[in-house]
Amino acid sequence: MKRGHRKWLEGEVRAWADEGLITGKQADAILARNRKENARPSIVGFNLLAALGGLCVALGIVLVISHNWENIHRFWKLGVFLFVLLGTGEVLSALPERSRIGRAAVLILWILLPLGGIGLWGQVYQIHGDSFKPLLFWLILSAPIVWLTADRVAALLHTAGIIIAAWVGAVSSGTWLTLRISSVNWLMGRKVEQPDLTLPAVVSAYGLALLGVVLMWAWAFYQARKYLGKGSMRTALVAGLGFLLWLGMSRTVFETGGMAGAFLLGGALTTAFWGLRALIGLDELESDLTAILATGGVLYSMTFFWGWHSFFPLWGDVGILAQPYLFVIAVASACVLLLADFTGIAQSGWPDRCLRILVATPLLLGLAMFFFPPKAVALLANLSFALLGLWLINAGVVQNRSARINAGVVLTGFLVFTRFIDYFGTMLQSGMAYIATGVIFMLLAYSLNKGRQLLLARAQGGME
Amino acid sequence: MKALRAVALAQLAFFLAWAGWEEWKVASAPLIILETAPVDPRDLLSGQYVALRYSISNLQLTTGCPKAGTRLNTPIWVHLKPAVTRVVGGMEWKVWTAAECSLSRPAVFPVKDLTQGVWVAGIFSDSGVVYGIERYYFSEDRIREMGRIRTGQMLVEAAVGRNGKLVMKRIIY
Repeated sequence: MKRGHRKWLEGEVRAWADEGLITGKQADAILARNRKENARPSIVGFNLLAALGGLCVALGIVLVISHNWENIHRFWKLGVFLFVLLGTGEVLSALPERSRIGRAAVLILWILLPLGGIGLWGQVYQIHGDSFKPLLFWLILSAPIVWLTADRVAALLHTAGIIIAAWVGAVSSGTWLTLRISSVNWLMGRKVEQPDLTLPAVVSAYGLALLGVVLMWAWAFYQARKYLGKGSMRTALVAGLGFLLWLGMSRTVFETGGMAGAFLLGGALTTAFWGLRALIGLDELESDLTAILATGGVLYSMTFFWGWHSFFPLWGDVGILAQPYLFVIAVASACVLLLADFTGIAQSGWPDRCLRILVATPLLLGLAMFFFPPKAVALLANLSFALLGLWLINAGVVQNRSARINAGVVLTGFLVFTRFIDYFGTMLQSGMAYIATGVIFMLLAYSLNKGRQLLLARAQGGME
Repeated sequence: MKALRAVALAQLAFFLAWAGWEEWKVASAPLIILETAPVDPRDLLSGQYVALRYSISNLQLTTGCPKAGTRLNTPIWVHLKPAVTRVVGGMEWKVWTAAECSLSRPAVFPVKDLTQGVWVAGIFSDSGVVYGIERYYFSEDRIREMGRIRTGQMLVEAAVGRNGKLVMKRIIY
């Protein structure tokens, strides 16, 4: 029970006793039970502590291996490692199910040991290569442990490992998964400098890598859903979409070039996030804030196109697969948005339609950058951002959700603050302007807070 | 529980097979000496190492070798011959250098006659040809000692594996 709930219960129990609803003896018994319940440390806490212990031991083993004991014969080093590996597996098999803490520690140790072993083998035999292969082999070797035990901490560690491996593999040069254009064949992935390079040639060069990347992410999503539950899907989804954004922003065959392509990609992915979270059936309260922050962030960034400078070019050299990449992601995000069921987020009818339009604005404004001047896009972004704030306030009042009202007020206030700095910022050189600015901000804060309280009171009144 | 034991045994088998493969590759393999230029970073998994670059890595002017712009990760074969003599650590060493390259595998394995030179396998990368011996792992106790080694003062003794791949045996300085 949370501390706030505990205090609330104590207050209520005393009030019930004072009002004669329960006897003083009963009140004491309830309070004593409550204190006893909360004095008992959580088993989850112990498990995490044990897992941390296992992690520390595993990391310590990696450091001991890294020291490189050159004076010890290699067979001894390998033998000791294999003994520890086998022993860890044996200890885990022998530990009874009820020994949860011990099992958690040994399990984490066992999950990480193969990674240490790969490092040791590399050191002993002077083997090195790209950074993806060791991670992949570690993941394969430790995957059965996750499948057989279905332990949450182990699955979390292993799933994080899969995501890290997918990133590392795609980012690094010369791996099985590399989607990066390296320094020497930098021109190779660029359409503008080498127009004779055909699309099939690039697909054949990067196709397997792309397939590998897709498989790695599918593996991560599968494990997250199966062993970690829906809550973790939000994190995995954000990581996956972040990865797609990275592909478009880095020196890969998907590089989108200047600001226009980057904003279209970011906008499309933000729109896709809203749709996917609804399709997957994520807990709306948990993922609402992430989605609102993402949409607000993209729209807010777009508002700065009002003062756009050629220092940040709108168009640049693009990777050879940038156009199909942008097309597929934009179309997919639009489809996902149309298919998504927003029941629970918005009421049916105009609130639902408004929400769909607002969620689609990052994608639509990203597209608009290709056809309209930056100032027009900035104007529309300002408008959309303000509408998002107003929609949140309205939805909060109608659905009696204070968090939404707060978020709407914060977004609106943030926009007003930013535009104020934009237009009057240069006047701050004089002391009088400083004082005036301070007073205006205080008044703004006061009026926003008053308005927020009014809306919250109205929402609570509506509930009654 | 049986399944968990099977997993542990499978992992054991994997590491044993790997060690066996590495041992087999260099068993009674011919040894050659190569010239290097070291720098010294650190690897998270395997610890301290010197990163080595070889004179046989930059082969743009050698007959048959790929030029800049060649597709990365292309396997190539390099013909090495003992060419120059270097004095390192108070001893004379015959250093092997590249004579020619080939993009197809020569039919000379396993190597029997070292006097004709050896063909070794490499991969064309954006930093030249890599042979898989570009790192030498050592104990962190020797960091200062290794840091004192200057370019031209370090040679590498490498074994030519049965498949033409080079395996580092030791450094000479």
